[in-house]
Amino acid sequence: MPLVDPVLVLAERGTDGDGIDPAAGPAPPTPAPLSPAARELLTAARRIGTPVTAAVSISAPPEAADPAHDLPKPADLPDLGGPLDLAGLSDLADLVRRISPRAVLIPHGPVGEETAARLAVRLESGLVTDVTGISLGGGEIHVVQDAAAGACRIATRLCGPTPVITVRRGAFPAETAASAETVAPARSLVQQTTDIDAPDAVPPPARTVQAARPARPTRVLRRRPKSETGRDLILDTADVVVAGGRGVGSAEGFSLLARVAAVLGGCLGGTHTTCELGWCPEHARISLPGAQIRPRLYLAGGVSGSVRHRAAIRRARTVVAIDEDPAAPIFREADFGIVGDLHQVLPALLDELARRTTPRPPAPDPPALPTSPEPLTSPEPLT
Amino acid sequence: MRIVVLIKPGGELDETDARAVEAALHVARRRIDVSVSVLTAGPKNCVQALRAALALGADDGVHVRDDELATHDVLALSRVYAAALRYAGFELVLCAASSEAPNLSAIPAMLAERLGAPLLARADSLTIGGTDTDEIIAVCDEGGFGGGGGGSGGDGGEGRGWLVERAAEPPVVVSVGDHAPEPRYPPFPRSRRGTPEARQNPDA
Repeated sequence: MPLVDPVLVLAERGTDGDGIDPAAGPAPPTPAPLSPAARELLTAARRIGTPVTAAVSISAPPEAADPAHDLPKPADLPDLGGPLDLAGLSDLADLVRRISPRAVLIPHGPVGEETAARLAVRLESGLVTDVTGISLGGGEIHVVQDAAAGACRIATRLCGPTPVITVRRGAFPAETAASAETVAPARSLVQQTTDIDAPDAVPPPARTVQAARPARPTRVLRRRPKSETGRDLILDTADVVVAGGRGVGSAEGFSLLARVAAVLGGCLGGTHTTCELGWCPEHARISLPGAQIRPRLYLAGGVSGSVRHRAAIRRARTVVAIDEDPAAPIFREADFGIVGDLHQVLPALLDELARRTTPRPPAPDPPALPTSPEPLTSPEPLT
Repeated sequence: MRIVVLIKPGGELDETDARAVEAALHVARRRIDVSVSVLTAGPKNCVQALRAALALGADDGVHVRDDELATHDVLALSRVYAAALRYAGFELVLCAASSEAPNLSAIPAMLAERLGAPLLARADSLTIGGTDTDEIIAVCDEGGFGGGGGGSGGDGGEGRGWLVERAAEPPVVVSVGDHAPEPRYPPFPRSRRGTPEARQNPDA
């Protein structure tokens, strides 16, 4: 059956956000419904043609499999293969050649982009990434991309055959789940289902000896979840940073700082001493070497202000320091200084912040970032 | 060992490219037999970015001059890069993983595909295995991988990404991520001496 203007959509099966329990079993007997990302992609595809779905299921990395996180170092631990493994990629390229779609749509992301890049090379077709708008005009596809971090937009006309397009997540609000789910299978006249299974948590050995592996695969030496390394807090670009020093007194004391950081919508950091004492994770070290921060507001609690620490906070705009020692060098750097015990000052600050935020219930952005540090002036400012 | 750092076409050295040069120099410091080349392709003004990369410490630069080459046409650009790399030879190709300009972040994967070399994607740090081996070891930021199969990755929430230490025998393509060390620009004390600011604060 000939397809009218097919658009190949690389859709991932729902494993996230669909109420599908990823731990339900290694092989669901029926194809899972499409993920939200896939539904967005189908919405985008419908603007330029008839979506044809190639379903992909890639299992999540072994989050629960290794509680120890740091796997031992077996040299033969097989590669998880990053994107689709290459056998799957060949299938995909063959599928594209067979149905010669108007375009191939892939969700944008690290995995999607690599898949798209490799596919574009195999097909020798054009590639546009991170597309936020798509339309059809005069038989050609027009796409819109953001450039320079959203400062400008670029409209591109795609003239080659079968361009590969990666689509930004969230750029196309998915049509209602019902219509998307009923329309898509009906329209995809050929339910092309190329199952491209990534290896499971610990891939069976058979997987690794399969043909069409890269000639020289990469070898995994170690694997750590990012949450453990705290990569989710990015100190160097944070707008508000709350840091503690030896004066915090204990690892437990950092939880107080963490509460302040959460209320201010900022990141938590520590001096090199606290990192060495183990109160604060290594990645949150504000020092040289370490993170060099440039927040709009830097709140230091119990930080004496060593040379290295002061060098790392030099680019902070407003520095508020709390310390018991009036002669602490941090006060030379501080715009506002509070001589006192942070275990008394910070709870008072939290109370005050809570009092100021509650009278305005319909606040659109919950953690209102203070642009000026007036609320933080203390009853006894240091001069 | 020949390290080639790819520089995005354009009149200025991109910050991400500068990080890639820095990563190359970091590897080169450990060894005697390493040369760091920078390679760009595009119109005449690209030579300025190349000069900036040389100022950071690269040994030599190659400019494939083509005034017709469109910056955002990554299919053509990757073809040019791959041809130049095959011609010049390489053990390690470094390329910035991200880009302000559209499409260019796909270059590393496209080159890996074209050159048939393994890809170490979004490397935060890079080392050579040891004195007796040329194995390249990189800590790769596989952010948003979990649940992001097929590529919905960008939304990978907290705790879903992984830092994976990967090793591969050269020739290798490495894309240098945003967490790689910042480039160290050479200071130019001599050139400041005559400026009014320098005269006012001679100690600065």
